[in-house]
Amino acid sequence: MTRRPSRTGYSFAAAALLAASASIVSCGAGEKTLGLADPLAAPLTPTYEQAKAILAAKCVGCHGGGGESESEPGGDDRNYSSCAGIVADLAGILSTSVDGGSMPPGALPRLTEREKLILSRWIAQGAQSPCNP
Amino acid sequence: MQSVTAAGRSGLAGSFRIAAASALVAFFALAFFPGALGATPLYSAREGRTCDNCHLRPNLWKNPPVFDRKCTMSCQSCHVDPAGGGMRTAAGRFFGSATLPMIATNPRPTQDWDSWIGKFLWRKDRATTFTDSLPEGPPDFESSKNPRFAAHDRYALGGPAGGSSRYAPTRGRFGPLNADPLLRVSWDLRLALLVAQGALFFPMQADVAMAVHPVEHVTFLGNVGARGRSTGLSDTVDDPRTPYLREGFLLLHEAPGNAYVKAGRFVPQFGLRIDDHTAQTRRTFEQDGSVPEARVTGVEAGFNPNYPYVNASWFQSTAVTRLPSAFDIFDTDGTHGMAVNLGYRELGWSAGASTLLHRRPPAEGGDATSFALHGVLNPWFYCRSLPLTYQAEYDWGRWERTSGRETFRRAFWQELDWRAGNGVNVLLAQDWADPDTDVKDDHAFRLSAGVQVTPYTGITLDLRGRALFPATGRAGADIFTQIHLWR
Repeated sequence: MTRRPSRTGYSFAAAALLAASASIVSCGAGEKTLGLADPLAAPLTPTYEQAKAILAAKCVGCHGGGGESESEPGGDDRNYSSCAGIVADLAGILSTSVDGGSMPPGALPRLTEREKLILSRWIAQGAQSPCNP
Repeated sequence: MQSVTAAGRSGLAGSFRIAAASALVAFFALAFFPGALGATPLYSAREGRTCDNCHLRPNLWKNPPVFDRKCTMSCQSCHVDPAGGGMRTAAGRFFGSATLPMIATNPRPTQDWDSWIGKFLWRKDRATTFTDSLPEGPPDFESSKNPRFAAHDRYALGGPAGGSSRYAPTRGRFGPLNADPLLRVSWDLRLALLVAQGALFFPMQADVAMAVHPVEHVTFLGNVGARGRSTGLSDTVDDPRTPYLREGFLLLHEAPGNAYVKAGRFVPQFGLRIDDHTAQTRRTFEQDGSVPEARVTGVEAGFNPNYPYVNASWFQSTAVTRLPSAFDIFDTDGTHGMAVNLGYRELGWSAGASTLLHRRPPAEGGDATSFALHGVLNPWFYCRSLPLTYQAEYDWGRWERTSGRETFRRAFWQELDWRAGNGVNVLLAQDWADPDTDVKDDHAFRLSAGVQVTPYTGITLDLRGRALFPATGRAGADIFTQIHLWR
């Protein structure tokens, strides 16, 4: 099959169009937090199980206290794999993951807005749990 | 893949240098735009440049009619699953032993001779097995039946009862590899080390796949794997979904125009199926291929002649709030969806569009309607001194929160790859997503730069640095290393 050079122009146009469209949309949209935009997007009274599931998925890899994970980043004694460990560091969870947005670390995805809303509501409502009834 | 005249290439080289420079400028402009944003499609995009990437140079070959051709830029050229990924066909295995590694165990494409990192020290690529008289494949289907083209292959045995279809890979075209086996076994093991504030070692993937091809046109594929957990090795082993059936389907194939139908468990086709499952185009749009939740049960049909392609699937899935059964592919919640993927894959570029629909109650994930535009450009095809490949994808769509209210999401991904030498790929990638356009400051973009080295068939090392820039909170960076063992 022989080449049809005229197609190359279309390929460049397509690439330029993709790059241009990315430029146009690369700013985030939205003017409200999730809690204000859609209060029912997360449970109004989150349970301990819902909070723990988020921590298990996003935090226990490093903050598992060695019990559930092979990794033990140096000097970290936080243990979100247990109820007592979670309740003992509510302030840390709020400051680093929910409000501060610096955890999970590195280039790992941060908590989603829904996850933040669940954790912040659960903590604000007293962080009720089996070890903190 | 058909040959291209040298004259045509040289005439286009100038304009393509300009285009490549423009793409580079656009890439860096986007990379530093506030809030903006090794992949397997890379090989498809890159390797249309020469026929002997995927098979031996055919002897006295003449192109058959379009619908009789087996060459395609689709994933099914190199993978048993037409959607790509996992077990490779004879063409994929040949590519993995001839073109991909630093040390080739099948004759390397003539274009790539001396194209290795030591070429400045001495000119001849002694690492390859090529000789002055390269072996050549059979010229046609009838000639392939000659006993001298018998396979010697420990990972692919026998052949379908009654013989191979004329639409199956041609015997003898892949050196000692079995072109159309009755039984084929493969594996895929990925171990990762993530260094951020601490070091985290975890298995990303551990798959064993088997394909049985009892008669022409019919193949059963089963791919069983562990659910890789970034929380550690023991969590992976103890996970209730380890092992689970990642893919399991009946495939009806070997038809004109590379048409196929598959039925069973699979990941629906949407956008570019890149191997970085953490890319925001994948995760934001429920295409994270590393998790069981991305699997659906349904039927997909496709058609891939040279060079348009189209495939469509209808499926049922489980609610996002629970994991599907590990092996019962009929364990669904009655939710349904469909995907359509179409476009045009030329030898040096491609452009496509996809749509993915989910229809679910809000508590089970909600309705979602997603669209994608994607394309690749391979300047290397047009200019041999420019071994660059550019890929990009833009996704957008509507989705439903658990409250039942609708909102929109968007994501973008792009990657520029430089084939620095045989077995060495250098990449620069960027991805960006705004998962909810009604919510402020929830978007983030990520930059990645790295190198992928394949010293020998079946071993790939992937090292990359990544930096995440969330709209709020602190930016972060990490180093990701992956050892990928495959066969």
